Amino acid sequence: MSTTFLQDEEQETAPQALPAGVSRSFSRPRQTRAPRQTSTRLLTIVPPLLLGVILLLSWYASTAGGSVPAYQLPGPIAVWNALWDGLTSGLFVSNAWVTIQESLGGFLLAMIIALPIGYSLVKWRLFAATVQPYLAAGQAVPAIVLAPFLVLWLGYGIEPVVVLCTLVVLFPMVITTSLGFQTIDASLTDSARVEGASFWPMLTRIELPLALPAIMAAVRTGLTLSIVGALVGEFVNASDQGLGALVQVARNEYNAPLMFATVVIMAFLAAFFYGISRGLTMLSEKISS
Amino acid sequence: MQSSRRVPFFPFFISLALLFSMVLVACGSSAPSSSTTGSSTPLIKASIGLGYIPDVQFAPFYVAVNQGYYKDAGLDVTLNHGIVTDLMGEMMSGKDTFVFAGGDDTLVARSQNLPVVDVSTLYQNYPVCIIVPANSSIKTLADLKGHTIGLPGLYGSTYVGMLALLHAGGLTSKDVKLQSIGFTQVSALQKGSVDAVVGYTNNEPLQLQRLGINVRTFAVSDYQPMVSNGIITTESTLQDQDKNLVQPFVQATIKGLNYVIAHPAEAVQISKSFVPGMDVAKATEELQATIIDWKGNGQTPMGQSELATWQSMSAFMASQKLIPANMDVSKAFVNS
Repeated sequence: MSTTFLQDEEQETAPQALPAGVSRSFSRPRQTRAPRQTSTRLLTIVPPLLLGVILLLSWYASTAGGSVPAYQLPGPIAVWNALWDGLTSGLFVSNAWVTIQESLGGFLLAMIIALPIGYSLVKWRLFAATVQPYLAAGQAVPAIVLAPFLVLWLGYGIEPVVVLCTLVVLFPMVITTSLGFQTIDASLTDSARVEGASFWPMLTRIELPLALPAIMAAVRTGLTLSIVGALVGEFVNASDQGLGALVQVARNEYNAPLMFATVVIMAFLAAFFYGISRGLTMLSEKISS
Repeated sequence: MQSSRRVPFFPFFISLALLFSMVLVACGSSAPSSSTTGSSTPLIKASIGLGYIPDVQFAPFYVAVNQGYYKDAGLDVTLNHGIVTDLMGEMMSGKDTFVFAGGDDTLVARSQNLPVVDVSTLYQNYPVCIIVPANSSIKTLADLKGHTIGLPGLYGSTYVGMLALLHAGGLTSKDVKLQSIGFTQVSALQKGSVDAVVGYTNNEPLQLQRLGINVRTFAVSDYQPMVSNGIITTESTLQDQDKNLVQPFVQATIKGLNYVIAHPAEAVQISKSFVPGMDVAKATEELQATIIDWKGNGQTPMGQSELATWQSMSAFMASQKLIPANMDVSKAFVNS
């Protein structure tokens, strides 16, 4: 009772006949794509916006009556004023620029180190056996513990913060990168080897493209963590520039609105970095497809 | 069928209960004290937030606890440590009764509407100083111009003290290069990373001398009247519990302070149990330098401060835009 392939296709696309006694009471056109995209877009905008408004109103209500002291939780208006003053005076821009330099520097340095290490862990057993115990131990030691030593070794300024940021970001990037290379289908690399692919073509034409999603995941993680690393470095090294340093100054001046405003800027910076990493991921997907 | 050997329950339970009781008693035993009050009135619980880490400079408090001065005053006092800004927040939240902080901290906090008040000033000299190597070309404060000064951060008493010294030398922070170095003043000056550092008269100069580095200091107390560290509390605590809490605490602490000044060697020994890993020789040296700052020029009674000093400090801090101008400093302190 087999039909040809084309006949099967035609049968699949033809509207199905209803069972006897059942009629179509109404005909409804199939939903088009445009309204579905609109509803999805609305879903990503309206609920979070509503939640934000509710949180803002709650914040205002709890601080307006004085039930929560201003030094513990400044009101949204005070925070907005501090934010505006900081933006218009250039205070946030100049300090954010220092934090951006430190975090990008730390991220790039970590990437330069993490990619070769992640690849080598998968490719060379001796290297993996030698290095993995130290990597595991290094992961367990909080980078912040090394901060005072970094100042002694590297002096003051942004260098110790960049290195601290590198240490914060490095291990997650190594792990993610090595997982990416580890999960490449061995049959593909074996086939390429049989076909005569040497190290460089194997790496650039097969391994890297296949590991690219994991590498981009490492980039996303690293870029977002780098902000944390830079801020921690500024806190611990008592930097005099950067958003972390600004928080310290505001804290010691009991200036809660400025502290909160600086945290808002930090959040925007982290979101901006995350946005960049997502953009890079989408770009890499386009390139590899 | 062989039955397994079982520990008899009742004797085992009694032994465990006795052991547990002994452990509880050991944990709850109090430090050696002097005379008892002889009264069954329960002690009022109080706590004070002291500086960053345990140190012999807090000996008056250690002595007051150890010698039972607080207990005799009807108080059960706990000593906590932390960063002054955090301690102020904890005091405002009711987690601490007092904080040990400087007059400049008090004015900055009050300028941000924190209702804190200084109830007793223990340091008569503001202990902040700028430290330079003995062979430095910096002979006067004006010579600091163009040089690099390392300090813990652009905030706090060291920053205010540095501004006071620059001001006394006719300079501003724009005339020097400021470098935040955390608490690495000793190594910074030792390595020559900076030309001068800001520190405390009872700390960094002594450390540097021990390393064989001769230094000279410019002490803030020689140039600008400033109110230094004292016992801070909230206005509500002062208003509601002055007689039964604040005054007894202050008086017991002053008693501890007088004991330390009269018996520094004994005070160092008492402090050993409060300061982990304390080096007795270094602590003795530090305590001797601290006593000088506690006593000052002897013109102001121990534990008190002068309105004129508060006013001078307020005017200076306002000129540096650290606090608003024309703050009413008369409400910032009381002499208990």
